Amino acid sequence: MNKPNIVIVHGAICGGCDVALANSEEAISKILENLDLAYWSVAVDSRLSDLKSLGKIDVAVFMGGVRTSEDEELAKWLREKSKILVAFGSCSAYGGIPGLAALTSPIELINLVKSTITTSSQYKSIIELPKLPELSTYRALPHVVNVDIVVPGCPPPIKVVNEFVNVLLKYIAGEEPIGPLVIAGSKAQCETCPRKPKDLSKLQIPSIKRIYEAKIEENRCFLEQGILCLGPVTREGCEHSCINVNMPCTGCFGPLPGFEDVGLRYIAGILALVAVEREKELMEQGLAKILDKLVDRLGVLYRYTLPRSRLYMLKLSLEGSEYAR
Amino acid sequence: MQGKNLVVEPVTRIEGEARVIITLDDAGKVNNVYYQVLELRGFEAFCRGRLVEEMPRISQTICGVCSIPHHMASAKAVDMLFGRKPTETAIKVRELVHYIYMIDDHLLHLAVMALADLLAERSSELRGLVDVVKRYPEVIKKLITARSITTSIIKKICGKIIHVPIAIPGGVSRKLSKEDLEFIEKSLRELRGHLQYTLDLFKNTLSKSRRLQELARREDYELKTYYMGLVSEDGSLSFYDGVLRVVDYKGSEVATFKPEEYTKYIAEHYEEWSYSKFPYLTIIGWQGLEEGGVVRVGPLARLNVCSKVPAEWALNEYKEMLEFFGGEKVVNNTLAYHWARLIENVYALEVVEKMMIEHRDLLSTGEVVNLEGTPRYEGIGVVEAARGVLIHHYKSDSNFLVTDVNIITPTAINNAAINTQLKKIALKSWTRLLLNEDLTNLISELEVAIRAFDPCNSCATHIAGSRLIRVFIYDSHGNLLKVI
Repeated sequence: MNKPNIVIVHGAICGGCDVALANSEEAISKILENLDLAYWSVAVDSRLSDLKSLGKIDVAVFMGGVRTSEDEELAKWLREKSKILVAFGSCSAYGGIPGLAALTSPIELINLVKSTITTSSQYKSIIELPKLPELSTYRALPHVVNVDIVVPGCPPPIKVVNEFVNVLLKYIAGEEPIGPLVIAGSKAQCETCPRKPKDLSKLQIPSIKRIYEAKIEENRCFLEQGILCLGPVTREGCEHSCINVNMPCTGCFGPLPGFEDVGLRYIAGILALVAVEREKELMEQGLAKILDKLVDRLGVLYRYTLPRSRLYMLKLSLEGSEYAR
Repeated sequence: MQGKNLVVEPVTRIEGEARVIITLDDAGKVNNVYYQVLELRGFEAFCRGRLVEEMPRISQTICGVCSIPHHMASAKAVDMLFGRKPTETAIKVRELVHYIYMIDDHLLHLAVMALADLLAERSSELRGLVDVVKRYPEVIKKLITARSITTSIIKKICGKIIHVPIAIPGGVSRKLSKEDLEFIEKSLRELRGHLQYTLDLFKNTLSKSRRLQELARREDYELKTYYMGLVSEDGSLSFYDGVLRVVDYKGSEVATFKPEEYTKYIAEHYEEWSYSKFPYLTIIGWQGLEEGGVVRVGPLARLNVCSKVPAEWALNEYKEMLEFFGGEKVVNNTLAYHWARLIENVYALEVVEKMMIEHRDLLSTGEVVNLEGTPRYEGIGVVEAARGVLIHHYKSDSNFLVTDVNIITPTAINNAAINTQLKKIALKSWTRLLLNEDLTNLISELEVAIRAFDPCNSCATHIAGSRLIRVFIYDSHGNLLKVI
């Protein structure tokens, strides 16, 4: 009997998603038992030509963002050939941290990399070699093609990886994908947070503090301490792994359903909380003063989701980019 | 263009996308080899403007395999930028995590990348992890168990295994609980036996496998390069802190400097044909991709530069390795990287065991963070990642927003050496490349060498991509003959 096949393919990756998958013995053994692992360059020596020679693909798992022309071509090819396409990890799903480069043009990016502190200026090419793949406009996978399953996390934790494989096996057994399905909770982190204040509606935020300025108290809501935490706008499902070691959530599980733009939602919510019972201060100093500690808004609010933000779409449309939506 | 080109792409079982290009002359003989790294994510660019204190969390996503050393190098750079000395507790917690990471990463490399090369009786017999799982299920099972111990210690302390959140300017986010300590102590006792197993496995294989012995003695796998690594003040093998030492291929000291002085000693060369830069030693100068001018880092380099291995078990194992390779102080054979990794595992375990006895109280009591210090607005942090010396260098404005970032990774430092190694193998032994059988064997030999370095191209260019090498063959007129 022929098993359905699975391929695991990379865009712009760090490798953490591969390790996350490999770290789950349960997931790997279920995959090897039920599926034919036809391509995963980490674990099986295979070349792109081996991938391209596959007539059909049942499951394609895409890790990483779409950075080069080759990534884009591969993503489109996979969509065409595959029954189920999976965006695995936050880079693939939302853009991830390298997505912060989305507002920098490829040429600027290369020039900045070439011009760091220790780069020698006199470079020359020894020989004319095949060209490097061109950097293209950075995008998350769902911006390039439709996906069926989204597995969030930077990288996805073992529990989520296992759940993903279980969902996959159901699909293979005949259940139709009702995608795009996100392997995470649909509520905010705060709902299940071990530090959830008794009455969430009475939460107040004192003046905002940056992490380098504060001794963070264990077991107390970060927002109550003035430390920005993205819990209120981020999907649950990570089991509060950062919060449990006394660090605030930075949003790697992506936006809550129905709110694609994390930053806008956060600003709206936080403004209200910061302003509670501070109307007088607000009138005297202005809102900007109260929020002046909210610096690097892109890096704080859109750390994993900039390529899916309205801001980015606006930039693309102002540039007349073919990728604008 | 002179010569024909042969391109191997992607190289399998390495981190990050790369390809090999082989150029042939008119007679079809190899005249050059290039190792080309293909993607770029541009951390140096988009880290500008970020909050300095967030850099340990952001910059570590350069690499999901060695995120912990990035996290630690970044933390050290940030400490210095804020002018803060981390508390004793914080230093010990960071060191503990870092040393356990070292074992974890080396075990991962062994299981996923190296085993297929080591256990194969013939070249290309085992095509990666999946074949090893089929042929040697018990070996993989052991390694999985060993890694489940190291990953569970990391998760216990850091909350996550990959892209951890604990380091902050001047400290760590939390100290260890009694329960954490007990868990770690129990785990370490189990780990001992597993590390013994990996060493026995390696040594048994080496003593039985003719192929491996041949490779370990082959002259074209010998590379007479400089070596660089971190050593503590007294010259001991060190992974988290110390000074950088450079030795030549015979072991004579060429330079020793503080991490903060690295810009005087290390510069980066850029070639248009690779997204990875080519760091080199300024005291030697950029001499192109030539054996005598390049520097290597990583497990073998660390053992070659240090003057002491202050741990009983590791020292015995190290002596055995030196003896095998002829008894000289410095080992130049590229395949010795595999052995060095296993010795370092034992060393890391012994260091952590000692720490758990001597600093048990410190790990669970005391201040986690020091908020005092005079900011310098510039900071440099250096640690040893599994693959070698890793440098993070940041500058900031007065509001602690990043204005400048330079990250030099071990694979970037090894980039020139990898190129040089491949050229040496291909030029030495291969003349009739267009015969298919020869070609397959050559590619396999090149890949074996590349994987010995354990390159991480995600790191090298802070890039991305699949981890396969493609081989491209070009003829003497620049026409592409073949892609494999």
